[in-house]
Amino acid sequence: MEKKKILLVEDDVDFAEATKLILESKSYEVAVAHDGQDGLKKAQAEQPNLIILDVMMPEMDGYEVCAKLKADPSYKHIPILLLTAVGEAIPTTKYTKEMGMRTEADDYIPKPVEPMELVERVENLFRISKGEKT
Amino acid sequence: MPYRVMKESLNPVIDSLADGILVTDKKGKIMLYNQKAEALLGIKGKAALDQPVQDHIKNEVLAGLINKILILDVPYHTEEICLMDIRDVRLRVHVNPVRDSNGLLIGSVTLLHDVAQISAIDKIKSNFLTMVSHQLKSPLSSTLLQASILLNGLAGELNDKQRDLLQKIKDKIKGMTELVVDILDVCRIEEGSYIEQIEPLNLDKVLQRAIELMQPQAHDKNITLSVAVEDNLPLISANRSGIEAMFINLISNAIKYTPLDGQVGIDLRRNGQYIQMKVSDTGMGIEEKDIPHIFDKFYRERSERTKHISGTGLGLSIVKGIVEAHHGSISVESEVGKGTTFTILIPVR
Repeated sequence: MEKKKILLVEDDVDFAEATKLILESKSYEVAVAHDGQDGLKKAQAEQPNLIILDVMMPEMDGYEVCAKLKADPSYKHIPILLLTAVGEAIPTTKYTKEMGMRTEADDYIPKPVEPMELVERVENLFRISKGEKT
Repeated sequence: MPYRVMKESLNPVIDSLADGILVTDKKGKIMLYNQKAEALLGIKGKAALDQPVQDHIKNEVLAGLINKILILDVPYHTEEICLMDIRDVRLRVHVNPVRDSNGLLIGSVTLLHDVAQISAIDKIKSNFLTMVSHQLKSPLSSTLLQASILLNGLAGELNDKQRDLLQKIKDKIKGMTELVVDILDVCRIEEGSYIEQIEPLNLDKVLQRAIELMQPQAHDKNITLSVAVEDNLPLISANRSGIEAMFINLISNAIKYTPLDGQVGIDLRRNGQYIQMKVSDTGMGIEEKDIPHIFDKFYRERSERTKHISGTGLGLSIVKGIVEAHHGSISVESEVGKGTTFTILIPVR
């Protein structure tokens, strides 16, 4: 069976490296982008099966990347897991109002992250997206 | 300086004081004030002399306080209010009764201390604290994840000693992360940002998310979280992250102070013009002597029975700050060994 590919968009190099290690231990192929702009480029270049997006990034943050991907017909089917910052709730209105787009990610996981919980969420998203296709 | 000369120079002396001073007789008529008081209270020249205090001090709280001191006529009384807003200045006010040599009340004296500078310094400090806390979030998240990876054996098998040490490291980082989250919440309360972004909120939904986040913590101690929410609750105007932090702090506290196999109940219903939230547990309860202090910052019960429980001592002060930012109230009932119930009322409008 072909390996599933996950795109991880995370500006913190250490956090990205650690997350990559967790996902690779579960036999996922992982591509990493270190900012929002790079994330959008790699979404096109890598054609991932799932995207994990950090919310707190300089320049273009995770919500904006999410909104852009979800507004694009070629990417909107890709499940997105948002990594929210430590101690921050999910704002639901900011981008929906300012940009007239929906920022609904498919799931959210707050930092600090437990490795097994991350894996569970990822597997769950793959299960759901598989169910939708059939 | 001879006494006579000194008495003559009393007016220049009090005019030279850095603080405002205002003296009334026992009927509340203004007898004396200095230049600083004129400036702070906006009194013009000597026009206010011999006039009732409430006619010239356009701040009801201050005028009321002076009159209260005169009416109460208790042997000794001083009252201090902090950060009162009068004409865009923040004042700390001290009101004392004045007595003659026989102890009879003859008037009042009020000291007005401009604390604008202190507030400004406070703000700088609070901004600094916020910045430092934000800077700590990323490295803490990363190190915590790295520790978890090692503990999960994803970077190779560990021996027992290594595992034990690493678990301790992880617990400490977790504690620091909690402290950073709490400090940021305290800063948000002090900056008033919990009243800035207000949206119509479905409390039920916010509660469900908080429960979801707390479920693993409850599961670890085999504690049942039972939730009862009245149907068709009205939306309230509130700050989403504030309300979420409020639920998380209360539920997490309840879990922390409840022994294994216990129960934590959350009840949400309408009560007149308020939404009432009750969080109750079957935990160890709070001793009566501690109850007046539980909402103070960094206050934690220190005793044999609580020493194994970790925490920052900021949780309840955060809850209270958030509730008050929403014009609500919080109360507590507790019985040692039986459990504790927190009740919060937040106005619907």
